[in-house]
Amino acid sequence: MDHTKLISDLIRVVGQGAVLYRPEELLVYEADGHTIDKAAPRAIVLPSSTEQVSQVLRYLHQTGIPFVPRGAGTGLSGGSLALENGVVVCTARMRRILEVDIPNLRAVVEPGVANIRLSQEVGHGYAYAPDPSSQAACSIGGNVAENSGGPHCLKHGFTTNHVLGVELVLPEGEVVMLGGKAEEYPGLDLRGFVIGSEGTLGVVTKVMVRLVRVPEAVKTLLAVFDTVDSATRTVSDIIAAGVIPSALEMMDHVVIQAVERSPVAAGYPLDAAAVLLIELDGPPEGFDWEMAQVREICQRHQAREVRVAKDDKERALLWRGRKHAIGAVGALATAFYTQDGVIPRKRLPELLALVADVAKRYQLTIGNVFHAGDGNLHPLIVYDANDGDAPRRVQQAGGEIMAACVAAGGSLSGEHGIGLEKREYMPLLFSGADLAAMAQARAAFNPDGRCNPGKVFPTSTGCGEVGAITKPGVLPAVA
Amino acid sequence: MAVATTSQLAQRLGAIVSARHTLADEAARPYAIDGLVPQAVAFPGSVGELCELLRLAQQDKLAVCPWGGGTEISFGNLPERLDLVIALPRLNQLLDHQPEDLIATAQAGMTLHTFQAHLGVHNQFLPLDPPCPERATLGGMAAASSSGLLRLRYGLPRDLIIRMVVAGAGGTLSASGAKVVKNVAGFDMAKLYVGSLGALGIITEMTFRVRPRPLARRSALARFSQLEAARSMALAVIHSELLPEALEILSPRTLGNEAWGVLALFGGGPEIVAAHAKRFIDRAGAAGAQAAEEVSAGELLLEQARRPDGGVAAVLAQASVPLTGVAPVLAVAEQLGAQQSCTIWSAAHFGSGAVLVAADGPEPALGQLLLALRQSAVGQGGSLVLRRAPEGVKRQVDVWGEVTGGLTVMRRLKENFDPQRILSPGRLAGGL
Ligand SMILES: Cc1cc2nc3c(=O)[nH]c(=O)nc-3n(C[C@H](O)[C@H](O)[C@H](O)COP(=O)(O)OP(=O)(O)OC[C@H]3O[C@@H](n4cnc5c(N)ncnc54)[C@H](O)[C@@H]3O)c2cc1C
Repeated sequence: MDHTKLISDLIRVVGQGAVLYRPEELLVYEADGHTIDKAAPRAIVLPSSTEQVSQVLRYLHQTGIPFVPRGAGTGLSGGSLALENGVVVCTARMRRILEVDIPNLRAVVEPGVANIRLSQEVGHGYAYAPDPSSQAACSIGGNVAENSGGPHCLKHGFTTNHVLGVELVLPEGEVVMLGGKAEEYPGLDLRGFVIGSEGTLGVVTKVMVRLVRVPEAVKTLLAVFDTVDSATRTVSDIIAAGVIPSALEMMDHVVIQAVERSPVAAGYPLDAAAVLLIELDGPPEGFDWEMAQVREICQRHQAREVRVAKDDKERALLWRGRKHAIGAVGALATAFYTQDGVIPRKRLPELLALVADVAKRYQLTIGNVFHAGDGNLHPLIVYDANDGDAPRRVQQAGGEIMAACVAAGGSLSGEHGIGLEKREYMPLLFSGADLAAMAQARAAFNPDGRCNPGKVFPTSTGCGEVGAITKPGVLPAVA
Repeated sequence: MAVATTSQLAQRLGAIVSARHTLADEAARPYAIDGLVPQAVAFPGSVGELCELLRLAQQDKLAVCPWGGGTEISFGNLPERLDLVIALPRLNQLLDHQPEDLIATAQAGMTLHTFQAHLGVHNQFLPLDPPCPERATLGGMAAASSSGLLRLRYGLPRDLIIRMVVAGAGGTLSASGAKVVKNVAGFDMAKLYVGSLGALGIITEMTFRVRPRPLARRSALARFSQLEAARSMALAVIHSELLPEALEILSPRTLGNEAWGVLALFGGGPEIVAAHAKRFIDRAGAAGAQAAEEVSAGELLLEQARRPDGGVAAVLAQASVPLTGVAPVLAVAEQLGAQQSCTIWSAAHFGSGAVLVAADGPEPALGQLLLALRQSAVGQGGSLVLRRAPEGVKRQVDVWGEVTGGLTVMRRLKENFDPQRILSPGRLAGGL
């Protein structure tokens, strides 16, 4: 279709200034937080209402043009890349909090609302529980698409446990309301299926969430270890003891160094091999027992120090390092690549040993900052994007780690999604029949596949604009 | 639509599962669904056999309905057709339990009670408590999305299932999820199968997130002369620092008393549980309760909250509404009972917005009552389904009510997964 006509048609729907199409404007949208792959979109549309989204999708349906929903672009699996030269439908201008209904513990928001803003605006002792580390930037719509997690999801549940309704514009333009303020509605749980579907079923234009009361009290501990192994054993023992901390996060030496040498230094001991950030929340009457358990387990594994935050200020400081860790590590080099595998928690020690071994063999720096309590690893591979050979080594190293996670009985992704980045690895986890059932379900929403093409499902054909990771041949054998 | 006569069918089923595990003709009568008797019942002893039964059903276009423990089999629209019941009680193996990772995997035909017994060895439990755990199977519980009181703290089946294997029409097995507590790889197919009453496939295996048993439990009951006072107490508790595992409102008839009851179950560390039970009782006193005390016979009361009528009433309806809709629906139920001369037992899982209304009376009156009660639930922003009702009532009142969003997509899903319409045809919302 004629490009000029496309642009003027889109402008007719959403207005001048809500369509970006000049090459320099498109650059920002060529990638997301996963920077290895890039794809050039045809245009960016910034609708400001459900009606506009619906009109845009109807138009794209009539003209047969592929499109991809996009929120804040912080995704780490290339989910919002416009493959097949599609149009990006970005929710950045849909950022109203439509309703805060405290008596019913619900809020209704537009998808472009940043995660952190929701809890801030609700206030009065209530909050939206899922708290991805990217919460200052990422959008609720993106959270829904990825079924995002966060440090406190260990105890309080993931996005799917807190989103009760979504308004979805189907790829042909029809607007449907799935779920609502009540917990259950008659019929298939389409709302549940849309959460975590990575933007492949349509554009989410409204989200109804559960609000929770903020915990009565919180205790935050920092446990310091001289070996990674003792830290990971502590994690599996805490879970096995039946203690359910609200957060149980780990950072290793590479990460500690990066954080402490950055403006967000949090006072982690520079020479530690690993630290655990352990948080307990709930009624203060319960802390004695839980604290005793945690301390005993830390001591059993020779924790050098267990520091308890004395007040909110100290607590915020300990968290500051964790929340900015990915950025601090990223600043060590020109590029980084974040992995997201999950393993049964008792396998943490051996998997972290494997990650260290991979780093050595591929001559790469890998830092580990992750949701240890969930067994959700985030090896952060930092490298020099201009070193010709590095991207290839990075991808191979990443592939080896992913395969090891699956072989340990785990999964390819705990929260970042498959997107473009991991699609070729899907056969490690799923059979042809498994994937066929998923494709059949997708087809009920997105029959011609124009909505976010090229994501989640493996393809044997390489894809023109995208990087080497999606080309056949880099897929390692299952370890 | 079956081409074979009943006895021929029984023979062919027998060839798959052995004659001993096949019922036909009169013997199949106990497996009638809403009065419709299947030609035969087969009890597969392996997942392979189950798949072969589904292949046979596809070849012969036999309408198939899965059967777990039968505790919720009357949930669903009147079946369009019914030829073959596939009963799952023989698929009852525990496949895996990783106590230190708090996950466990079992076949769909295992009863909830047996599953809990396995978990209990390690002092763990699955925090789902639908009625009749001795008979209810894990698969049936998932397919009917059954729950109990504990959903307030721990969620519904959808929240606790992390991996699922399903045999589709034609007998193809497919899996989704993984045996880890956190996972987003691939689509969350289990969300579609939970609550689908077998309309998209038959669940064969599930992995659940399980929990350590609470170190202590206590329950407390407060009695109020008026529903309004009970409501405001329950709402205050939900918005307070108290963290009950369950919070129920019981109607006077359910309680066997003149008063409305607010029942709280507390579970956790002994100090928390004791402190919270005490604070609950103090609050109730301040809120004008007639009486408020810890109840030692808590389990009996909890059972009444799960089954307000003890399972005797002809009809059991369940409304799902936002919190503030609970008391209005309870009030309307009482009014309608009086108007229509029906007997009403009700109970609400208050914090979850689920209201159970059991009713007895002449069928036309029950029909009127349910239609009006549904209107009330819908008016509150929710819905009302009939979990149990006689055929006559089902002919008067749609089991599900209107599907407000996504019916087109649901129809396409059904077409894609079951193009021949042989899996529980007609039973699901929207006539799927
Ligand atoms: C430093 C850093 C830390 C992070 N920490 C975490 C973490 O702790 N936990 C976690 O889970 N993730 C984390 N992430 C990943 C990322 O922030 C989340 O996946 C987030 O939910 C993406 O939101 P977004 O608005 O940026 O979505 P985008 O990147 O814009 O899009 C992500 C996907 O969602 C789809 N999408 C977006 N909006 C819509 C919509 N309205 N309707 C339909 N589909 C839509 C897109 O098509 C795409 O597939 C982190 C990322 C960074 C950079």
